[in-house]
Amino acid sequence: MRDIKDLREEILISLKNASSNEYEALKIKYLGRKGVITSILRGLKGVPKEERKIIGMEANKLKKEIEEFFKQHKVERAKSSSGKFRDYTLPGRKNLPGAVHPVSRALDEIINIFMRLGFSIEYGPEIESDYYNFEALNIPKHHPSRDMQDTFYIAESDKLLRTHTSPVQIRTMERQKPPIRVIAPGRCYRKDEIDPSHSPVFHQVEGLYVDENVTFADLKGILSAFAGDFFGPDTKTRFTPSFFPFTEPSSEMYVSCVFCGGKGCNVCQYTGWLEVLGCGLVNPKVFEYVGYDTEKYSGFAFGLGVERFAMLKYGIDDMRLLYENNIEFLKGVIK
Amino acid sequence: MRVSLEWLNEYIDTGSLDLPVILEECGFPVEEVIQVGDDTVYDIEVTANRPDMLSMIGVAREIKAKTGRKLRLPATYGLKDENIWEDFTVKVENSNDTPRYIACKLDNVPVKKSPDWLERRIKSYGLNPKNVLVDLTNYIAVELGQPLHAFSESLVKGRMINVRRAVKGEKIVTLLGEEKELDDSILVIADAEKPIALAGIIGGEESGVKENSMSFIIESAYFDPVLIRMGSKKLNIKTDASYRFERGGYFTSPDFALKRFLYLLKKIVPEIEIYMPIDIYDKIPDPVKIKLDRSFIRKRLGYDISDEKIDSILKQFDFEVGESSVTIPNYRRDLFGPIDLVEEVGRIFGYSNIPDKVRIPEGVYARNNRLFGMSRKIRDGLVSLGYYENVTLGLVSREELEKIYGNIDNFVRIANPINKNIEYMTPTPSVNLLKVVKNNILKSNRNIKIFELGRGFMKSDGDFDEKNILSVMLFGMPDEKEWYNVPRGFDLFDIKGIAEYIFDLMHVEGIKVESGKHPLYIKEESVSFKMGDVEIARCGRIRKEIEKFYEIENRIYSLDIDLDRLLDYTKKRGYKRPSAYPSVYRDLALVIDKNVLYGDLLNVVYDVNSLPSLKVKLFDLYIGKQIPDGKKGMAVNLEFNGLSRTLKDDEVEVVVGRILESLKEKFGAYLREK
Repeated sequence: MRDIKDLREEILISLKNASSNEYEALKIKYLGRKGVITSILRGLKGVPKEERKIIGMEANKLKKEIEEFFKQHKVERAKSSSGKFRDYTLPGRKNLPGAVHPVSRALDEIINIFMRLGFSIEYGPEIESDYYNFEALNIPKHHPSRDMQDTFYIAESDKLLRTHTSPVQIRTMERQKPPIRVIAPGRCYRKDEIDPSHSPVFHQVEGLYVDENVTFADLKGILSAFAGDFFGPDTKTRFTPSFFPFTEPSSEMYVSCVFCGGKGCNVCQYTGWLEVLGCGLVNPKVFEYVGYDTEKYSGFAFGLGVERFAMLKYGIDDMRLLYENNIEFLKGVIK
Repeated sequence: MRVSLEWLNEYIDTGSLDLPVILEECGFPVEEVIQVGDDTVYDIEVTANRPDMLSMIGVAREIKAKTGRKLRLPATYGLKDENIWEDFTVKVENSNDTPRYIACKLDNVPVKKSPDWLERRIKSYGLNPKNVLVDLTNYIAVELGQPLHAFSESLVKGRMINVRRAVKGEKIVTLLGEEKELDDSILVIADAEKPIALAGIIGGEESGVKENSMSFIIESAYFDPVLIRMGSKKLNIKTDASYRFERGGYFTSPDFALKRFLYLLKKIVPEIEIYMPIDIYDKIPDPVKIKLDRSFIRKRLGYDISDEKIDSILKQFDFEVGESSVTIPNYRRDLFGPIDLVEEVGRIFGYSNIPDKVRIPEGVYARNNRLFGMSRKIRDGLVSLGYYENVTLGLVSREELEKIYGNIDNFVRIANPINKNIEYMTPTPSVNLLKVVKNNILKSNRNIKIFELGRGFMKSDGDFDEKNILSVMLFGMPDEKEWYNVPRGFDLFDIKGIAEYIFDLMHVEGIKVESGKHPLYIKEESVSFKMGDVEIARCGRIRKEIEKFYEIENRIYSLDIDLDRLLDYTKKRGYKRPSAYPSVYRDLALVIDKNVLYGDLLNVVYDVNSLPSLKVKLFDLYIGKQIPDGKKGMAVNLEFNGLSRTLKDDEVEVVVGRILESLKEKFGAYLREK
């Protein structure tokens, strides 16, 4: 009696813990022709009649219980195998990977390239002071250049949400002396309405290289190398003058259109070129704020929008898709 | 800035030039090309540092610098034997606010339609022609970048103009018909009685150009840019004039512009009478002189441009180039130091002509950033398990926070949000993920495994606290129904399992698990993970009220891990030689009080053990026929190892006996009857 009770416990536990791929073997083990139950019933021959009846009943009850389990778990031989027949066309047991978000994926590629070029990663706060976000970057109060970046302010405070990751430049330079070669990836905020190409929240990678004798040729070289690595070796770059208060000279980098290769299409508005990032030599006024010798040191800085790079690289035409996080989108976009 | 080609050709011959390319190479990309009759109009983007480029003459100068073509300066009126303007006073209260103010009286000016050429040019800029006086002031603004203003002389009371700060409470009705209340931060043009114009921003309705007037006062001035900008912002009036003034005027501009205005007006209306202008200024500023260090220019550009080339470029700008200094004409208000000359030479030389140089200098290398490394590892780990990484805006509404947390005093509010849905900084990405779950359900995605590596924001002692947080969220089923499986819904132990997975991935050991209480979670299904007293993570099932708020009709589980703290406790992984001796296994089928925590039981087992190594696994948990009411069955597997020796059966028996004894003593546990 006790033996069957124990056996039942053992069998039920092992069934419960078994994964479905073990069911077949367990079924044979317990119910098969040479299985446990069968051998109990066979072994009853020498047992006194009264006891035989009880044990037989118990064993049959257990047999039914086990059968019921397999019935519930619907394991039928036909599904996977039958004798020597294997339906090898059945789909394998699924191991579905998830997906990295396209912004994160683009950021990864950007970071990887710059790390290969010797840039370290620095982070900074998203709630910033006016000093780090504007003033130390040579964007004085009441200067029209502030209009370039419409700002969110924190209530009941003099803080703001950083409009770029450039404040990390200042924080890094305050902390350490040249040579400095860093990138600062992170989230930024500007008071833009959400539309296919704008978002109040976006991601930027700021880059900074300060050393003795850093030149405009260095800036062009590093950023062109980056563009070639990111968009492909046939990518051409072009630099035009621009204006940012924290760089002088300032420039805008264009890459040959990644969709038409420069022949002209509606994405590049038939110019063959796409504007992708702003850059320039660090304005000596910025060095003055952090106490660097402006004669001895020079540097370059750049800032790029990660969403734009992701959209160009993966052919996404609406920025809003990036923040919806529709799983179907996240699945499909990265191939 | 809209630039008419026909107009521009008055100052420089642009024939055969590819203007869009030239302008872009100078840093002023053409945003739009508009065809107006036979004329082509380029809408160019002008950066904030170059107010001079908001004028036709500025654009012509830039093209001259780039191409070396000849510049034709506009003709001006030579003031000589003009009538004296008597019995009129012009007062400038403060020369810092108004470095220069010129007023000029004109008589016998008919307010009539402008000639065709003038109307055409005004239209090319995008303005509607009005009358010759207004059109010509606008014309000068576009041609030279200097806004002028015309007052009807008879409407200026008390025969005086006073350029002063407004007195608090003073009012003015602007040309747009709006009444504005002023204070002493606003610079006004006043007559003897009251303000008649907002200096540099907009004129007053009363004193403007009236059809029946024949006498006018023309104002040509240079105001403090910051004052104009602040005033314009404060009063919320933006005009073409304020746009120009806040980008900066310069000392010689009012004089030149007035003379140009007079020249053109006299040509159109020969019968006008001009009075000698009243010109008020304190001091004539010195021109900007910049040290010219040609080797510095080469050093910064990284290219060997010859001295001659550098000098010839600077001369093309009409800068005065000396042996070791450059004198900057005062219309260029953006050039102050040697680095500015680097840019001017570089722009004209052409950035494309500077070679690319790629180098990784000595002593520079990419250092390790632990937070970055950890985030990437976690992200890739979760993605391998089938999780989708999310990036959300990280901003939430007040309503959401109130629904979840009740009291929202500690959350960070944006003073000037775009809309109410994104008014607060999120305290955890989980709040944003709830919305993602909702939106995915609406798009028929029923099984959701998502995470975000984001930040959470809170107020903290008068400052702000930004935490790096991993949030994970589960909804629906771990696996869809397939031919080989039995589907089930997510439960607390799925989300807890993810927490344990991350701890394992990051080699964090010794975490204590406590019953949690957090506003996001149902109290009974809430877990807190601690190191000492420090909570580093929590997980649980989202409260029903919150589910309802997001219109989600099923269980949601979420997890938040404080990544900065996790990083503090991350250990270096060490390696040890695996035991060469076999383990001894014992299964214990325990019956124990329903309310005893497995964790407490485990602690006792480990405490009592005296053998070198013990691993415990709970392999079954059941309640049922075999188990008395109020009890539960817990089947544990104990794996003992001697590490440096083979364990003897009897010593294991002794330890197992002690374990059972302690469990009985502490919890009344006993082995299920055999």
